[in-house]
Amino acid sequence: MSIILNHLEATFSDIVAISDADIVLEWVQQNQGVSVDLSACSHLHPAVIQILLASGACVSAWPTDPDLARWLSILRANPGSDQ
Amino acid sequence: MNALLEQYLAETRECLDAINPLILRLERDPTDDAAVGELFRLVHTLKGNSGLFEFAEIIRVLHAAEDLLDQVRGRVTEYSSRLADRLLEAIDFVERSTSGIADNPEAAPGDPVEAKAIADALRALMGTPGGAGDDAGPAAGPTIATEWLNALPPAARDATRSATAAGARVHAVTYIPDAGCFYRGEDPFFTIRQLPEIIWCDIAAPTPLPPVDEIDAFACSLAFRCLSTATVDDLLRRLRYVSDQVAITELADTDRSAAPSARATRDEPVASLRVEQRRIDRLMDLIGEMTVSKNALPYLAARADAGASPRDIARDIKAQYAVIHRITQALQDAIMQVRMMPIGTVLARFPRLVRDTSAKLGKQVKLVLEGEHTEADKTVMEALADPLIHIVRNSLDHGLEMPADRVASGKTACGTIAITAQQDSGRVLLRIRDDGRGIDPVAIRRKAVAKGVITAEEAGSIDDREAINLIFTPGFSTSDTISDLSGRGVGMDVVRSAIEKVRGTIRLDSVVGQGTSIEISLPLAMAVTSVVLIETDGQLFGVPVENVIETVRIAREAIHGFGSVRTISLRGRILPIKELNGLLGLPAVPRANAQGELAVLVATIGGRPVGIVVDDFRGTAEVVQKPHAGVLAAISAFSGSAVMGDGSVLMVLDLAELF
Repeated sequence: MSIILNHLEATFSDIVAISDADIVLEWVQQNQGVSVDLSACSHLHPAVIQILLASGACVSAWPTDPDLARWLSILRANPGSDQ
Repeated sequence: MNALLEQYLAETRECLDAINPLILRLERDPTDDAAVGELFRLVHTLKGNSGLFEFAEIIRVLHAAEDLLDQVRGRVTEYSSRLADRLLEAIDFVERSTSGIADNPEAAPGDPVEAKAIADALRALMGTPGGAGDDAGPAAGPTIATEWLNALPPAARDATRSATAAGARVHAVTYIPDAGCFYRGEDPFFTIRQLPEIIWCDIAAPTPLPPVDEIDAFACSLAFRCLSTATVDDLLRRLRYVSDQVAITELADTDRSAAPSARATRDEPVASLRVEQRRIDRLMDLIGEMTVSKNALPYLAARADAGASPRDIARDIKAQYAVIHRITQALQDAIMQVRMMPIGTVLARFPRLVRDTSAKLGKQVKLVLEGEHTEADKTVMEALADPLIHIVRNSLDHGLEMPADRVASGKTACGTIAITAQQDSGRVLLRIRDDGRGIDPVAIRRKAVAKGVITAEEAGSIDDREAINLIFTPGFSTSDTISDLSGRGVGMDVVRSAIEKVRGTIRLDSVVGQGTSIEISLPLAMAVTSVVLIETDGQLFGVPVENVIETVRIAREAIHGFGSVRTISLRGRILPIKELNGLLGLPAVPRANAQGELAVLVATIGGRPVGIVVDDFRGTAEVVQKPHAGVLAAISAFSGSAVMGDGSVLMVLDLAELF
């Protein structure tokens, strides 16, 4: 399992595939003001990216993979996070 | 260049030549199913051939053209002028790219960015396939929007600046995956992340995403953009499976644009000639005959040895000479045939030229071609191409009127340009006729005087025909404004000199309000020249027969001098005369004959008759003229030289250069 969903924060790790998109979509539809921890994530399927984008989810921790972090600059940083 | 590649280039040339007229034919009659089928087949063949060499950009364009034509064939998409334009662009691209291969066989042909744009434009014309199982990817590929490049994000700009400062070329990749890509198991984000040397990147949502309750998570609505310093080839290779969804743009970097092309100088491509088999067979037969008749010579020698009378031997030699003479003549004729090509190959480009140009000018023009099978030597044909284009452009630009003007003057709205070719006693006659406004001799006279081409007195003395032919004089251009089309600083004088270089003549007739007709007469072949032999200061020279009007004897007293100009009156006409000795820098004075008469060769130079004083005439001869090479080539007074029957060398004069 590469995603752990809590009430308002999710933790994504390794590769988040398109098969995870349904769960993520459901989660953002049910919760407002969510954030994701991407620090352990190495790749995100674009379907998931657009869900996060549409939901206005914040990034609470940026990927440690600098390449991925660079790509995802479109996502909103958590007001309290370091980026 | 290897043989296979050579074959490919020749075949491509042939296909392209066949494709062009088909595109135009379909434009006239879009319902011509046979033409669509043939066009599709040719494009398909071209694509297949290009596939052998993995010419990716050529294939990409041809593939798009093929898909589009397949739709036209299946009546999914309708043939239109716009479609014809796009197809012609694609064909031009292939033509340019393949001719690039000949110059530089190692470089991958075709500019990827251009190829992409052309393929996109072709695909944009495609309709949605009506349910037919189409395996060729997305049917109506949208043009990739690259507007973001006009205003790069600051971080991207900085990255570009520092990369170019370090000497790198920066390419912007815009990847807009089609909405259904997830269903095909694609992960566009993964694909683009694999690109090398990314210096900046981001993801964008081109259209605002709907709220989460309405979003279709499985329809991709993102765009991926990045800047990379990798080569276009490398980028394209990695994006080859999604190339229809990607735009690669080189970011402008003006100070380095001149860099490629430095190594353009390579060994010249070998000019090739396609020859019909039967012509080679004919040559082969003649060589066989030659071998047989050669064998008669040892036999003659043996007879001479055996003490046959000189009279008998002479008779036999003469008989044998007649046989060899016949064969060499036939050989010469056969080898000329090999070099012959139909004028149709030169005329083939005109339907396209007329179509494009008339559309640009807003005129309606019908082009009529006749006698395309008329043949002439390859050199002659090649020399004809450029002047002909210039003449036709002139007709389109200046000759034919706008449709409204034509109707107002009682003509049909659609103008006609007719190019007819025919063979006439050893020459090719080419006539380019238009039914436009014609050339006004009065205006030409006025202009010629204003430009100082002729004096006002001369203007009064020349007839209308001579007046309109003044447009061939250097320094004369009929149009007051320089237009995009014909007025590129190249006047009709260049046309005439190009025609004269291959020993042709050009003449213009025009009736105001009815049109203009230009007649070009060209020799069938360049190899054998008829010359008039003249003698001056003890030396023999040749003058091409085409230049000579007549030879006359004039009494010394009949030469009048006005200052430095000397003239004679010949049948009521004043001719300027010059001494050949003087022109050649020989110190001798012309010799007169026993009756005190001087030999004057009346020749036409630049369309006007002049007299040239020589010592004597020595008849005419057929010579095989060779152009000069090396140091001699720089001497423009001679167009070449020929070896005479007695082994002496005859210099052939280029009169136009002498004056």
